[in-house]
Amino acid sequence: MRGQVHPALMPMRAIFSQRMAIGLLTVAGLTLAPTASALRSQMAAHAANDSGTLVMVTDGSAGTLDPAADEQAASNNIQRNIYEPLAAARSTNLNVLTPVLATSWTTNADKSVWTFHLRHGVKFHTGREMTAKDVQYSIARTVIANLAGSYVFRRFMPDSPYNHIKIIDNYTIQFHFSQPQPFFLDATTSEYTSEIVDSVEVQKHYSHNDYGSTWLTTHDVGTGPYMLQSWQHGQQETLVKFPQYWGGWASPHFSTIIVKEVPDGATRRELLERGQADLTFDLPWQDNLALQGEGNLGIKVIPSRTFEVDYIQMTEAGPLASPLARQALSYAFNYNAMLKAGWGGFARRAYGPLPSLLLGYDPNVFKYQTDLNKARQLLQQAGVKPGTTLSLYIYNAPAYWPLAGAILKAQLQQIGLTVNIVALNPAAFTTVYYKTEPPVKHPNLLGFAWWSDYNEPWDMSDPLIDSASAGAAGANSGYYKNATVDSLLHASLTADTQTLVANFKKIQNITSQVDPPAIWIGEPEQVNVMRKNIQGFVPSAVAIQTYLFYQLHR
Amino acid sequence: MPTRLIVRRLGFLVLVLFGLSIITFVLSHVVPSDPARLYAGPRASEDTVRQIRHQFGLDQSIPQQYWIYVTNLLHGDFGYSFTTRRPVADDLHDYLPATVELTLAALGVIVCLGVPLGVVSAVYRGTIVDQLSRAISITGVSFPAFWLALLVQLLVSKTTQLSWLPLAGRLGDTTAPPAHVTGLYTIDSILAGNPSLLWQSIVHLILPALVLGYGSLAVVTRMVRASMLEVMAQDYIRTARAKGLKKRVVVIRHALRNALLPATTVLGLQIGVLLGGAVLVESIFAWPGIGRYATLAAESLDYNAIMAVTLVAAFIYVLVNLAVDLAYMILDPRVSYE
Repeated sequence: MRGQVHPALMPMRAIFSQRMAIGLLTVAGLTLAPTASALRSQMAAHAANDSGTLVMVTDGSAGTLDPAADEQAASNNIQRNIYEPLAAARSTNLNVLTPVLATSWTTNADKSVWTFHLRHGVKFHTGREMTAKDVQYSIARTVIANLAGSYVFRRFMPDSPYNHIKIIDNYTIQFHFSQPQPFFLDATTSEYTSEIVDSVEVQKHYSHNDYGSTWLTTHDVGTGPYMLQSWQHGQQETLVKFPQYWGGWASPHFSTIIVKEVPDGATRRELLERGQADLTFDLPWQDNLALQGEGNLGIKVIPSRTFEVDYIQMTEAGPLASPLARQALSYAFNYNAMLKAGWGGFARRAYGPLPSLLLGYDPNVFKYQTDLNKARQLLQQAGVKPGTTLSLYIYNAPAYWPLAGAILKAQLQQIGLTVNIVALNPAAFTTVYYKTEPPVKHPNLLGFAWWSDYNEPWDMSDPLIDSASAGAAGANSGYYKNATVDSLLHASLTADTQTLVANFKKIQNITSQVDPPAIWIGEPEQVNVMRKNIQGFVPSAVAIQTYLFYQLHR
Repeated sequence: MPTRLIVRRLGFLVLVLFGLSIITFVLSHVVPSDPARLYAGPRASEDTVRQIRHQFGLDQSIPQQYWIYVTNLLHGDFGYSFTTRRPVADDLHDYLPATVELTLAALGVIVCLGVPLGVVSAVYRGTIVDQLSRAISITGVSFPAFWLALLVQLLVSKTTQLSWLPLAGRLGDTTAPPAHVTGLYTIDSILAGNPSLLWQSIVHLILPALVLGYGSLAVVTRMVRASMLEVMAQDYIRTARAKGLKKRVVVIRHALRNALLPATTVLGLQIGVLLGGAVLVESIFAWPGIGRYATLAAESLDYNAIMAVTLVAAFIYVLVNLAVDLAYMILDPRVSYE
């Protein structure tokens, strides 16, 4: 056979070389023996730190892996683990930001220039090293591509983002703006849209001017601790650890993550009880209560507060044009019934457009208490006659929305108003909610939920209460218009923290008490249900319905 | 060969699909809804939503959109799904085989259990076996599939001896599916020569197939029983008995073959019921099939996905009816459609 030589035919030099090699290997083996033993112990330590596989069961499946293209939690849940932002709010203290791809940052006196120092030696899953060029490209791309998440940075860069992002060197990047932007740093923590992609790889896959979005839908070019191994659409996504992750794998972590789509809540609970799943969230509250009470199932229920506020928006037209009429409805709603029957106690009252954990929330804000007599008086003062019919549009699921509608209907019936409830599927509902039409033709009441992308009140409330955000322009579906609120919001856009908090105290006073745009119903908690042996979970107020798997271990 | 029948039915199929495509397209598009907004997300700017609307041709008139849709369809392009963000053809490639496999397994349950139960129940009329069969039938038609599914899950999870039965999915979490040939995991694992994968596929099929098939099993059992009783009272059966033929031969060779004719019709109709029932069963057992896909498509008014599911379901239904007609000719040579 070619390539094989009989030993008898081997020249002496070759035999000598072979013996030399054996001898050298033996010496090397003896010399390296301690190293091999170290390696073995390192491997043993690694095995001890490997928590194996985590199985998460969830009711939705990822739509896209492009971090700039989707706001759905099921997609974000995967994106958060394969991509990373410059900084993140990963501590329970929302005022403390964790450096991720940036190691530090500085700003000038008026906060119009932000400089980020990037982490060295960060590898993409493609094998390339991350540089400032990738950061510039990723953030510019989210704006220019005009995808779902473009709004986050367009606030700061309404023109070409390249006019604002300057590469100082491979590991330093600078953002400069024409006016102060004190909350730009917070915006970079929005884990939905601020992740950094491998710019070289994405640019290779542009198609029909889509900025690589079609390709990125199913491909992973991030720096995160996990890589996408497989994606069986409608079944499960499997992530595996990225061995070259800059954070390392010395501490205990899961090496494989399986995110499995199980639409039915009862099945998710059964899988958890059987030990065939480790983690899920937002089961029906009856299941959460039952699991909380069952100590011997090996399951823990961890409710965590978030930035979500659920409300029923009131259209400022027709019978609800007067602030008095809207105050009346705020008095009429039975909040306690909703907290108990709608969320099973896994929620707290909302008192305005700002959730209680958000920067600028005023704990002394006016708090409506259910009072039908007061509601009746206010309706009379507002000139709303008994027998008036109001239309209420809500989602047909989850179950607490139809219940909120029923509670409001029952309460208003007692003071002579009729409510016609229209429960719609998500597509039909959002069409009504975002429709631009004369307010008098718009539904009188619309139930919806909103949350902030980062810890900043303007981002949370401007789309809901700014008159410029009415109709299709934002989420101000009630066509709410209050000149003072508009002017305070405008002044807050570039204000420092102290001014911002002061402005929002006034805004909350108006929108909670004097001229309410909505019945602020509640702040539902995210109820995390996991096996008792899962450790390391840190609740996040902002990254709703998503988990950072790198934090977890068994 | 009933060639004319097949050609005529296939021509009819084209007409059905064409008519259905118009009705479904118009119905889904006249509902006041903007899937572009849902696709873009709640915080997307008006510009972004406008761009998406333009990208998917949603800003054109309904006739224009229909013309584009049909033209693309004739080229095998089902369009793009807003829900899964990929071509609908890829979705059908992944989801349809799962439902076909589940439906066939349920059909297997119906035929293998329902027909013998109907026969035994007729032969031993009035006995405890007949009473038992009646009880099974009544519960089968009375229990809604979703309730039965939850009950079965509860029973299985609380019974240690049944812990080997999986509650969700098509395969174990860490098991890679077989190479896609038919998309039916049982068949593909046989083709791949992988018995452990085949076993996993079968084990995962058991609960959803039983639940899905149970309702139709009840109908088929009662239908076979009634037909058998009618046939058993015929003169030729009495003659066969008088000739001294064994009871088994009389029942199976002479009675059952004729009694199967009406049952075949019912079985064909049950395929439609099974496809409809798959929507709920797939959701509860996390079975990634066309039923679950249809639910998501309907919730987000994913036009292309709705169209595809409707057309595929109609296609299957017409083909199944054709197969039933052909089966008549095999079961009873006197039947002719010429």
